[in-house]
Amino acid sequence: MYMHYDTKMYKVFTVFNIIFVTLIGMLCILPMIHILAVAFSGKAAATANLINLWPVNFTADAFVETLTNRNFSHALAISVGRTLLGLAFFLFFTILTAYPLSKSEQDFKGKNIYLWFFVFTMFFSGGLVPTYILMTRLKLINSIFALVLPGALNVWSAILLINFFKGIPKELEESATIDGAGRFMTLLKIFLPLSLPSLATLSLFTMVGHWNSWFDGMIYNTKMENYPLATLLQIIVVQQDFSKITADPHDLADISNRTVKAAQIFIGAVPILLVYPFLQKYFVSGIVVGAVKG
Amino acid sequence: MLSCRKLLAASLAGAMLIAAAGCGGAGENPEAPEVALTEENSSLKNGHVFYDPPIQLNIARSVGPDAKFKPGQDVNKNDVTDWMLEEFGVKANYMWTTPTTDNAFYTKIMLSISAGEELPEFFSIPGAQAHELIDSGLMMPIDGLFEKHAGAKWKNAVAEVQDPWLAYTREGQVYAYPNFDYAYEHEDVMWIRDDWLEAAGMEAPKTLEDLRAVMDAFIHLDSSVTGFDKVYGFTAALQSNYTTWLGVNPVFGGFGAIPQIWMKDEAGDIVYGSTMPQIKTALAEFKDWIDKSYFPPEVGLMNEVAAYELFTSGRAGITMGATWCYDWPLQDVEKNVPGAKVGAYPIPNGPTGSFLQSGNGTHYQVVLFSKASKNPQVFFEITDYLYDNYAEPEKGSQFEYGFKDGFDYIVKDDGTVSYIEDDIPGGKASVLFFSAPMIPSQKIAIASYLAEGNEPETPAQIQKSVGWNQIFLDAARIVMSQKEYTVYDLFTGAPTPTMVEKLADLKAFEVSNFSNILYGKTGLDEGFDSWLSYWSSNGGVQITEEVRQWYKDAGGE
Repeated sequence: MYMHYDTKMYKVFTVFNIIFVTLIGMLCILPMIHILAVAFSGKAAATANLINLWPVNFTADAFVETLTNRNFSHALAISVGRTLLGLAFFLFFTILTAYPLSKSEQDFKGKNIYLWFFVFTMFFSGGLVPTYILMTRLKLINSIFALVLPGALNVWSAILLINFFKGIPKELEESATIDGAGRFMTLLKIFLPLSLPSLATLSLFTMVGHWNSWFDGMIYNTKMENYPLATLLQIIVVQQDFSKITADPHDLADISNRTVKAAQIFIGAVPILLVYPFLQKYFVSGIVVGAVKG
Repeated sequence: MLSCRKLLAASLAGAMLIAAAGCGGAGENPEAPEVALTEENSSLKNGHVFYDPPIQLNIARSVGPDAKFKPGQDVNKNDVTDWMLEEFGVKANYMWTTPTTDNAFYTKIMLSISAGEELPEFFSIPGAQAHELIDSGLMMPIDGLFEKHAGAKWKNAVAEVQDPWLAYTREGQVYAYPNFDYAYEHEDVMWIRDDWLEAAGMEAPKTLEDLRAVMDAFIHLDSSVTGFDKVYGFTAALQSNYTTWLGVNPVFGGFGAIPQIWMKDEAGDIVYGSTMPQIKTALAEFKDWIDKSYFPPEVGLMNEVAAYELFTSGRAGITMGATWCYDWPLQDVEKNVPGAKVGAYPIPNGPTGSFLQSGNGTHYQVVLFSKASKNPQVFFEITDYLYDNYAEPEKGSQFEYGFKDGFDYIVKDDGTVSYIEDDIPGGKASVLFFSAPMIPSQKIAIASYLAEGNEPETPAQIQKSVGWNQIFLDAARIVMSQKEYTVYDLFTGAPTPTMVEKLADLKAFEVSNFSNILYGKTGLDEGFDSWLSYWSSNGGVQITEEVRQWYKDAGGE
């Protein structure tokens, strides 16, 4: 049955495949290594762009400066907070929206009306100004909820989840019903455990989205102390026009300090990278294959 | 089942809570100002105005990464705001702050206007973005306030600037106060690797001919001298902005025209610089520089960062940039390459026998005053006080060494004054006034005075010269000696209707066309002619008419 695994051509293919995949993997990791090398380098070498993958004039000053910067650690805490809170809101609202909408029209009268009601918002939104006015009137300015509530229900994700729920064999649900489970128990004991792969994927999208989002952090906050990390990094990374500011040489060198920028970018990326390995184990498909016999 | 019901109940309760939060109504404001009075409660204290009870100013500002605060202080509560409260009875309340990047302040103010929120009483915004706000009719004319409150020192400082109000005048009334910058500090000098000059046995170039000879000598220097197999004579940013801070606009100017600004031609008419015939000759020159490898081959794609990287890594010998370019970033080459030395030199004269360079403008930001502002006069009262007492302080006066002991400087135990970050407990803080009281000529005048070997004596000279080095002083002296060659962009108004519609397209064509000429993809004559005909057939003529009309209307001569 597995005869073709032994052929010579297959082995050659495997070797090249591994080399190819390794190269792609390298492409992904090299920028991170470069950033890390810059962060550990001397300032002059960084200004001259002399650093490739290994630090020049090794120093940890940039990391010390970043980690002892209270603004930075505060922004990091806000980002972690909004990501976790955002994830909780997202899961709660998206699951509770998707579950009923995955039922048939017989089980849920008027389901299609609700569905179109949600889908409409995917294509038409109020736009920036009305959303801003809404946040102002809700008194959410300077509140972490201004960052979390607008994305609490993501219709696109809900539709994905609806389709995933629909794909779960009806027999499993029936078996639970026979054992006396109600709607919520079926959701908790049957649907959610079986949907872990898609929930993990959607959670990852949501967390990365929250982690990277900077514009809302800027417009819904009146004080920089409330900025999440992405907004802070955006300010740091965007190139200043040096002919447009009063030139105090000390400030110029500070503002353009590439090593500190690199350290901040690196530290800013690490927490979200740490999420991946923990979610990896859920990225396995075919869980329901073989659940229904006969 | 029970737990599920609880869950549902909790979620419903949550939803109601959110809805309830929305019912607050727009009118009530939990942070109502404690005091909001007008000019009537003002009296005099120490010869200047004092408000008792204090008044609150509801304002806003952008805060850049260069703004530093003492531990526990922020933009609303620091030594400067405390001083304003004690000295003037003015409570500065920054309703919101934004970063300086990405037009953040503009975005926020536009959102505020759309949402019908209270506008800041006054605020600083880049001049280019001010026009739209002025034309919205929401801003207040200020010439009366300036006339009334500005004293002699302030008026003298403004008088140094040519056409200070021109851009912000509407029907004879001025709608913005420009935050004047120091003059000349962004003007270009020529930066050369002194060690290469010495190795080549040459003098600093005084003419374009000399410059070509020096560049030629530099690229033929032995790699044992330069440390690289291949080096370039000249590095510059020629990506799209030909007047940027590490560009070649003074070389263009040596031919008698500067691209991308509005200037007068020989007949005295205002024209778009890039359409002048001198530009064609200059482009031919630069093409030659690329062909001969004086320029790096990718110069047409390089921005300022790429341009200085070549210099700071030691692979280019000459560049042209502002007075501060040695302090940052060019001096890094001395750290990266053993034996490297950088010197500042005057811009060499072009074929015209002299040169021109594009000035940076007299200001970048302007202060706008909302029509709803209750106390716009406070801005003028405090700024005038600062011009009288802070801009050029007397010996022995309150501001002799800076704003405040322990804030932006420290008097040490032995009586000496230090401005060094590490000496000041809690670090050196930024002194954030509504508008810094700038005397435009002050900085470079002091620097060129010190460049002649004078010691700093007056408090202003001592304060300003902190951290200066000899090479900056040289550069300052050079820009002072060549200041009559600076030309300013004559058009400073709001984009005209045809500009809004066509200018982006014209500029894109200009840049790609010039780059084709530089790289020999199109012939010089053919390429420049096609640019001229594109300009005149795609709105350039109308734009020129509009610019001339604006200049006439605004009262330019």
